[in-house]
Parts: sequence; C-alpha cells; structure tokens
Amino acid sequence: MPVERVMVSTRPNFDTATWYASYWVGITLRFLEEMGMRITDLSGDLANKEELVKAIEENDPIAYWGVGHGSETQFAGQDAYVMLEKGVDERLFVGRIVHLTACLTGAEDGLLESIANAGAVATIGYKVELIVGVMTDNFAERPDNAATESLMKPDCAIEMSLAEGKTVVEALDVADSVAEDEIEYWRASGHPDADLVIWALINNRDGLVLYGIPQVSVLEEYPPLHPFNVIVGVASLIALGLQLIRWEKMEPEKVVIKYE
Amino acid sequence: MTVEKLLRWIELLPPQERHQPVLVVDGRSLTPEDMVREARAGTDLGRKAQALWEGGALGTEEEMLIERIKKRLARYPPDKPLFAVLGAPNLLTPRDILKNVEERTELGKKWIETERRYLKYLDKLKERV
Repeated sequence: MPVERVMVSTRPNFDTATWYASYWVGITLRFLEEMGMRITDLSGDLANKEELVKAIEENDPIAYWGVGHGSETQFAGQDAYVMLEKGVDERLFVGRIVHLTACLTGAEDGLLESIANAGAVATIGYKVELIVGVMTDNFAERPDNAATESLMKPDCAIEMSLAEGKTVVEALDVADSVAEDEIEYWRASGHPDADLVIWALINNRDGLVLYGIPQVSVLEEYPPLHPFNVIVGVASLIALGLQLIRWEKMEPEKVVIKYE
Repeated sequence: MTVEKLLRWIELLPPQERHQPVLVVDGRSLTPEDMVREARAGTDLGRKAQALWEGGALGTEEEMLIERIKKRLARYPPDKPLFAVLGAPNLLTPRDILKNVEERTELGKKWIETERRYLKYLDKLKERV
C-alpha cells in the first residue's frame, strides 16, 4: 500500500529546458520536505529508469513527480533516455499520484491516461508543449530569470498544495489561480516581452489535464485493519445475509384495488 | 460604446497588443489603434468595428490568428531559440513555430488554439472598463 507523505522525484538537467525546470522543482522539493514530505530526489544522472524503479520499490511512495522531456507515449530522464513508456511501465504506479512536468504526456489516449487506467489513483500532466523558458535578450539565460519563474510557479504550486493536504482537483485549481496572478503581473508590467510570457502562461495553464480520481490527496489515510473490526464486519455481513434470505422466503403482500 | 471605453481597454492591454490585429471587418484586419482612429473619424468601418468589439467577436478567424502569431514572431530573430520546452526539440525558434503553424501540423494547430485563448483573455479585459 503506497505510503502517505512519501514522494519520489526525478529531475534531469542536461539541456536548457530540463535545467530550468529542474532548478525550480529542486527549490520546491526543499519546501515540501519542510512541510513534512519524505522525498527521494533523483536529480541529474540519477534521473534514470533503474534508479526510479529502485526508489519506488524501496519507498512505496504515494506520489511521483517527474520532470523531463515528454511525448504522447514516452517520458524521458537524463540525456533523453526513455524512462517511461505507454504499454510498458503502467504497473509501477498502481495506487499512486503521478505528476509529469513534461510536454504532451497528458494527451488523450497518451501515457498519463494509460497510467491512470492501469490503476494510478490520479495522474497530472500536460496535453501541450510545456514552455519553461522565454529565450529573448530581455531574460538572462539562467533558470532564475523572471519568465521561467512565472512559468514554473503554477506547476510547482500543484505539489505545494498537495503537501498542504489539498486534493488533486483542489491543487489544480490553485495552479490555475497562480497562473492567473502571473498573467496579471505580466499584463501590467509594461515589459517588452510581456505578450510572449502571457501567451506561454495561457498555453501551459490550458494544457493542464487530470486523469483518475480528482478527490485524492497525498495525505490519504489507510487505517489498519484491527481484528475486532474484522470480526464485527464479518458478523454484520452474516446478519445481513440471513435477513435477505428471510425476506426472500416471505410471501409478498397482496394489493387489492377496490373499484367502487 | 464610446471611444473613451475603447481607450480604457487599450490601456489594459500589454503594450505590444496595441499594434496587433484583433478583429476583421469587411475583410480588413484592425488593430486596437486602428479601431480608435476609425471610431474617432466616425467611419462606417469604425461603427462596424465597435459593434463587433462590443459583441465579443475577437479572434474568431483562423487567418487573423495566424497573422497575429506571425507579427509577434517577426519581432525576434527567426533562427534564435525563442522558447525552451520539455519536448523534442527542447528549443523552439520562431521559424520552427511558424512552419508548424503554416502547415497546420498537430503542434501548429495547438499554437493557433493558444492564440485563440490569448485573444479571448484580451477580450475579457473589456469587463474591467
């Protein structure tokens, strides 16, 4: 049974996009730890399939948060090696909440839908190209530039909200609201590339999708079965069964309709 | 609608949007600044534009959406990366984006849809004036 408040994360950092996204996810993971999450953070060269499988088997996490390049059917780790593939890796996530910060894995009939159909409680991702950097001369080519911060904030807010105890659907609402705030900031900024950043924020916001059960959280409690509760439960079922048999044997009352 | 209301809306737009087409009237693309000019001159075009603007008709024509994307991308060097994305390739140039848009690839159709949503957002700013 997946353990609540436990997360495995993978975050490659071998090119501009993964470097930018990994930076902000790394910062968010530190906040999540302060909020009581126990995290196995597989970054850089550790962001590969072997390490992921090992971490999931050892920790049995309720949540997996992966950053990396994606397509409709694949999700990649360090150096673009495929980590997850539709039709191959779904069973790894049964009972878990999966969040992929990647392009296109949330497309209809794609990887995330397939993982949810195979038994993940919820999967979150994007059905569009996920923009994490605006590369004009007005933004430094570093992950802490203002555009990348804005573009990553809504996605990171999902995990912050989940760690606070919000359900998946509530966390997505928060992400939406954070995106709105960022759009409003850039609209009023007068920045020469404001339209480009807003455009990217709208692209990401409207491309966010959820499959599975909207009302689950990483704090989901699974109470252990106490022997007394088991006995009471079985006894109740037997009593109910006997009552049903009794009803079955009873003659139905006749209804007489009188015509005056 | 008064010209003042239109001007208040324009003030709410990101500066770059004042010169971008936002609606098509009689086959002609009009920017917010064109709309103000026509409204002030009291032309037939201006009256039609006002009616469309009030009716929330921004961004319904695909050709205009593509024109907007082209105009925006034209501000940047065509072969220098413009967006970093978590897909393949990880850097998109204006030329990459334009090619997809013009060929209406699956990716291009998504960019056009984003432009439609962006224009809808600009349209919604009218509620604040």
